[in-house]
Amino acid sequence: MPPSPTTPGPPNAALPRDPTGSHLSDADWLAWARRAESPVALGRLGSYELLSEIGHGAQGTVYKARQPGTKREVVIKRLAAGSFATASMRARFEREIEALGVLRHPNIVTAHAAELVDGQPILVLEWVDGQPMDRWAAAGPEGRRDVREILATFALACDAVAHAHQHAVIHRDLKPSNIFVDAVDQPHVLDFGLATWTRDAARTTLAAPSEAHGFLGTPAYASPEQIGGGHAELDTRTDIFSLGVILYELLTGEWPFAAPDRHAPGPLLADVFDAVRRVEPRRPSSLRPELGTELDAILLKAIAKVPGERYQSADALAGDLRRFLAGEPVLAHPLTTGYELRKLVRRHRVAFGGGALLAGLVLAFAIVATVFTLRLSQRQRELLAAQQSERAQRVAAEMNAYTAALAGAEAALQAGNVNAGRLSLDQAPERLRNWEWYHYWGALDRSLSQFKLPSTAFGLAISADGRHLAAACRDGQVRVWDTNSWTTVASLPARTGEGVQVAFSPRADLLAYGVAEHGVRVWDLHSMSELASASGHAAPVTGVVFSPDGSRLATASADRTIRIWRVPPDVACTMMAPANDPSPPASLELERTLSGPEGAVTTVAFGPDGSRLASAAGDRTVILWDANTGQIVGTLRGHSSTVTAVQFSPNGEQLVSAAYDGLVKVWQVEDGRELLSVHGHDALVSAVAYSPDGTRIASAAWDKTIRVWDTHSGDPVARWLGHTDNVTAVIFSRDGRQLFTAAADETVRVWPTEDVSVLTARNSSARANGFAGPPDLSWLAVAYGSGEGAFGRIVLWDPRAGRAVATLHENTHVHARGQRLELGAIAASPDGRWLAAESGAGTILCWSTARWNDRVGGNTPALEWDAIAEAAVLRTPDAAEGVNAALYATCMSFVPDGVRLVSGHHDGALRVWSVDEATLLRSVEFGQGPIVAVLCVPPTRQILVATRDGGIVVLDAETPSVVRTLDPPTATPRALACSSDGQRLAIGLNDAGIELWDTAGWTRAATLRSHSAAVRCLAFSPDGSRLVSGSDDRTLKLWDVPTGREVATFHGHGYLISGVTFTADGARIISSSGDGTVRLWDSTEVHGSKWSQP
Amino acid sequence: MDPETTRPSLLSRVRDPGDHAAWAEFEARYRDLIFRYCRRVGLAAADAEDVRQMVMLRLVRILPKFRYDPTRGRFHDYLYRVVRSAIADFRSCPDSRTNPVVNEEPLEAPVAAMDGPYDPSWEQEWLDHHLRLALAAVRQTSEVRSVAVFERLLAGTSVEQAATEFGMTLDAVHKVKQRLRDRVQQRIAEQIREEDTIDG
Repeated sequence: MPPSPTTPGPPNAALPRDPTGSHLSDADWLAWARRAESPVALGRLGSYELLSEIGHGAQGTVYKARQPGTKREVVIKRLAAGSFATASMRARFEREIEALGVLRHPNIVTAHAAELVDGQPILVLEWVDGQPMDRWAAAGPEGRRDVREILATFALACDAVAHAHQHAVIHRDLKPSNIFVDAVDQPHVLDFGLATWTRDAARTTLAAPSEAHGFLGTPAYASPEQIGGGHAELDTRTDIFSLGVILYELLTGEWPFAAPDRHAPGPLLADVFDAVRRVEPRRPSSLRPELGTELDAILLKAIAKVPGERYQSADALAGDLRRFLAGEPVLAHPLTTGYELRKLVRRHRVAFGGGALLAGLVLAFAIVATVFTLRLSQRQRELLAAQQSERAQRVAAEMNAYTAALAGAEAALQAGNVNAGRLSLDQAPERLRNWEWYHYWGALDRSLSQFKLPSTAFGLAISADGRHLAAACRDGQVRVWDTNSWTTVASLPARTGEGVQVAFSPRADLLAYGVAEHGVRVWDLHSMSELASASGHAAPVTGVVFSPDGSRLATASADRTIRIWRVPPDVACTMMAPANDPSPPASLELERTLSGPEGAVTTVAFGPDGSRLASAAGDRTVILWDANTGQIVGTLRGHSSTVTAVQFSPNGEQLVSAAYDGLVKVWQVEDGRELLSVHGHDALVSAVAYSPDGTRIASAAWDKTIRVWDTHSGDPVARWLGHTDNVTAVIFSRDGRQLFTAAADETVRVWPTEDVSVLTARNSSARANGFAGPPDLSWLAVAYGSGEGAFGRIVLWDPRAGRAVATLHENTHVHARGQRLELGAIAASPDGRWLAAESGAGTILCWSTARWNDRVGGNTPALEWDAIAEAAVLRTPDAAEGVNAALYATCMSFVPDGVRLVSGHHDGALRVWSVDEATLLRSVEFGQGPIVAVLCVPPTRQILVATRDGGIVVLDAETPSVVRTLDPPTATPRALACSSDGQRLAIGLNDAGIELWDTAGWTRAATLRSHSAAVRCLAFSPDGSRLVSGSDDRTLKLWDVPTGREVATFHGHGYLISGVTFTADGARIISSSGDGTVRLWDSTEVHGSKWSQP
Repeated sequence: MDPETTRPSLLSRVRDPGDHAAWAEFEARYRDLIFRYCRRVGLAAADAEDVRQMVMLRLVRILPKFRYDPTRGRFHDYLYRVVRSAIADFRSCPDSRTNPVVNEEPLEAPVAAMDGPYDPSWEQEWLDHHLRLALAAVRQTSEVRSVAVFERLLAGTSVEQAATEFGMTLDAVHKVKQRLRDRVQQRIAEQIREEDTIDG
C-alpha cells in the first residue's frame, strides 16, 4: 500500500514515516507508482467527454475530447476563467475564433464550434492525428525525409497560409509545432492568434518571454519587422519569412541565422533578436550540398530581411516550390543562359543519352540552341509577366487586407467587441486608411474623456454638489478627484480586493467606504481626516450608502446582513468642523442589523425619503425594508442569478435592479410589480443608475458596454463602446448630462447621456424620407412620411444638441382618393439660405433661413414659431386648388447660384423656379414617366435628369435644352450623384447596381455591385475619393472611387435608406431611413467631441 | 562539485517575481498536484483548472514575501492552506472564477490554526506528486534499456515475462528493478529536502 501520514489532523513539521516508500514490498511499491502515474479522469466539459490534457498555458488549457453524438475526437481550447485571462488573452482567443470562422481550407484546422460552457468560452477544433512538421521531416533514413517529399507537403502548407492571407488573416506565429502533418502527409496549419499552446513545457510559462516588451510570436521564426515590435507595419510578408525559416530548418536541420542556443531563455533572447535582424543567413547548400542553388535562391528569397525583397505572397513561394519539383526554372533564381540550358537538359534527359554519334550530337545541340533561344525570350516574357502579376497581386492583396480589416471592425462594432475591432483596424495597411478607417476607430470609443487608474475601480460616487468624484479601487485606495480640474484631491487607504464601494453623504464633504477589517470608515474631505468608523460585519463590506438626510449609514456585507449605523450629529454636520481637528474618530453606533437574505448581500440603497431600504443579494432577490423598523416589506423575485445592483428612482416610486443574468428590471415599489425587464447586455450587469430626472437608466456590464434606456418604455437610447474590459460601475453626473464609468481596463471614462448621432422622431413609426441642411450643419430639416396617428411633417433639428426644434410643416393635405402624398423631396441651397420641400399638395414650400440660427440655438419655444406662415409657396400657374397629385415633386435640387430651384415631378416635367421671387421660370416636359432624380452639377452648369422610363438626359442649366442622352442604364435609375469636380457621375439602379460614368467622354467606367436591393441614394465625398450609397437592403456602403472597390459596409438602420450625403467638410456622412431615424456617421478621430456638451 | 548543490532552491528563486524561469519551473512542478487534489475533492476538470490558476495567482502575490519558519509547518502544508482556501472560495461563490477574491490571510499563520479538519488525501496526493517527479527524473537520467525494463515492470509485467521479453536473466531484471527503485527513492528524499529549503 502507498505510504500514509503518521498522524491524522494537521501536520506540524512531521513527515510520514517514510515518504519514499522504502518500507513497501516491491509489488506494493510498483502498484503505488502505477496508481500515482495513472491519468487523472477529466470528466466532462459541457457535453464533451474530456479524454486528456494536451497542452496548457497562461491563457488556458487544451484538451483532447470526444464530441457527443458524432463521437468524433476533437480538440477543445478553453480560455482561462475571468480575470485570469487578461484583456489581451481574451482578445487573442476571440481573434482565433474569428479567424477560423472565416477560413475554410483543407490544410487549415477546422473550427467546429465556439461555445460557452459555464460562462467560459471554448473553441472546438478538428483533431489532427499527426505530429509537428519538424518531427515529421526528421522521420526517415539518416534522420531526414526526402527533400521532394518535404517540399511537396510544405507547398500545401503555403497554400493554407495563402488562403488565410486572402482573408486578411496574418498568422504571426508560424513555426513547425503549428503545422501538424497527418498520417497521409497532409499538413494542417493551426493556432491562429494565440501564443504557444504546445505540449513542450519549455515554452509554456506563466509569463511567456515572447510577450516581454510587447513582442508577439516566437523569436526564432519571427521576421525582423515583427521583432522590431512595429505591429502596425506587419503585413502578410511576415508570415512568408516564418515559412522560409521553417523550410530552411526542415531541409538543413539548422537555424538559418546561426545564433547561440536559441531555445535558452533569458538574455540569450536578445542574441536571437539581434541575429534575425543582422546576421546574413548561410546558404543552405553550404550545409547540405545536395540542395543546390535553386533551393538556395528560394530559401534566401523567403527569408530576406527586407519585406520587399521576399516573396510577396505565400502563393508565390508555393509556386516556386512547385516549379522546382516540376523541373522548371524558378523565379527566385537569376535567369542565365547556363541555368536555362541545364533545366532544359534535365527535363529532356533521354534525348541527350550517351553513345550518340558526334554528328548527331552537333545537330542535336544546334536544335537545342535554337529552341533554347526561343524559349529564353518566351521565358523572359513569362518572367516579366509573372513579376507584373506579382505586383498586381500585391496591390490587390493589400486592398483585400484593408477591406477585410474593415469588415472585421464592422463585425466587432456590431458585436460590441472593442478589442477585436481595434485589432482588426491595426491590420489595415496604413497607406490605405481613409474615411471609413477613422470612422471605425472613433466608433469603437465614444467616450468623451478617460483617466487611467493604477488599478480597477469597483465603486464610483459623486458628491451632492457634483464637485468630487470618488472611485474605490482594487488596490485598496479610494481616489477622489475635483471634477472641474480633474486633479486628485485625496487618495485614502481602504480595503483591497474586488467589490469595494464608496458613497458620499448628502453633506458634500463626507465620504464613506469599506475597509479591510470588514468595516467602514467615514472621511471628511474638508478637514482631510477620519471622522468615524465602524466594524462588526463578519465578511467584507460590499455596499455602503448614506441616508438622504445623512443621519444614517447602511452597509451591506458578504455575511448576508445589512447594518444601519447612526451618524452622530457632530459628524453629520462636519462642515462646521475645523481642519486638523485633534478629536479621535468616533465609533458609529449600530442602530440595527437586518438579516434576511440567503446569500451575500451585494449592495444596498436608500429610498429618496429615507424610509425605505433596498438590498440586493446572491440569493437572486431584492428585499425592500422599512428603514425605521427593520421589517421586510417586500421581496422582489424575478432575476435568475445574483443581483448586483439596485437603486430607487428619484421619486421613490420605482426601483431598478440588475443581475448576473444580464437583465435590467424596473419594479413598482408600492406593490413589488415588475414593470420592465430589458435585455440588451450580453453578459452580467454590474451596475445600474437612474438619471437625476428619472427619465433614463444607465447600465454597465461585463460585455464592456454601457447602455442607456428610456425609463418608461425600456427603449434603448444609447449604447456606448470604448472600455476594453468589464465595466464595473456607472453613475450619472449631478446635472444628468454625463455618465461616469469604471472598468477592469483600469480607466474611468466620461460619456454623454444621449446619443446625438441618431436623431429619432417622436413618432417612431414615421419614415424619414429625406433631409437637407446648410454646409455648416447648423440645422437639419427632415421630411417624415405619415406614421401611425400622425401626418407627414417636416421637422427642423438642431443636430448638435440632438433635439427637434420645431415642426416646419405638417401635411394635412388629402387628395381625391382620401390619401396623403408622402413628403420626401427636400433640398437646401448650397449656401444654406433657402430650404425647399414638397408640401404634399403638389406645391413646393420655400423658406428663407436667414434667421434660423436664432431659432435653432435660441430659446424661442417651438410653439411660438409659425414656420409655415413664413414659407413661400411655389405652384404652377394653372394648378387647380387643393391637392394636385400629378404635380407632386418627386425630387429637387438647387442650381449653384442658390436662387433657382430645379424640381422633377410625377407628371414627367422638369420645372425651374426662382425661389426669391417665388415664380416659375420654365417647364420642360419629358413625357417619359415620372422624374425619379434630378441633379445640378456645379462646375459644368449642367442638369442631370433621370426618368423612370427614358433613362438619363443632360441639360444645359441656362436654356435648359437637352445636351446629351446617355446610354440607358441596365435598370431603372433611382439616384444620381456627381463628384464636386463634375468628372464622375454615379447612378443608383433598381437592380442594386451602381454605374460609374466618366463625364469627360460620357462613358460608362464601371458597374459596382454589392448591394442586395435597389440603390436609392448616392453621394460623393468632397475630395471625390469615396462614394457612399444607400440601399433598400438597409445598409450604407462606401466605395473607393478610383478602383471601384467596396471598402466598408455600415449597418445600423432598420429599414431602407432614403437619403445620404457627405457634409461639406467631408467629416461626416448623414443618412435618413425608413426606420424613422437620421444618423450622423462621424469620421473624426475623437468621436463626439464636437457634438456633446462639456 | 555537483553544480546542483550550489544552485539556489526553487523556493528561494520564486521569491523574485521577475524570475520567469523559476516560476515556470514552479508551475510545472506543482500544477499536477494541485489539479489532482482538486479533482479528488470533487471539482470538475474545468473548475479544477480555474482553481489551479487561482492558487498560482495567489502564490505569485504571496511567495515573494514568504518567510519560512519550520516550526510553523512545511511548505507543502502552506501550499495546502492556499489550495484549500481557494477551493473554499470557489465553492462559496462559483462566480468567483470571474471575480476572484484574494485571500488576505497571511501565509505564515500557523497551520494548526486552520479552520476545519485536515484532509489526509492532500498528504497522499503530495506523496504521489513526489513519486511522479522522481520517476520522471530517473527516466531521463538512467540508461535507456534499464528504463525500458523498469517501464514494463511498472506496467504490471512480471519479472519472468520481462526477462523473456528482454532476453535477460531473472537476476538481471531484479537488479535493474532494485537499482531504479533505489534511485527513485533517493530522488524523492532529495526533492522533499529541497522543497523546504530557502537560502539566506
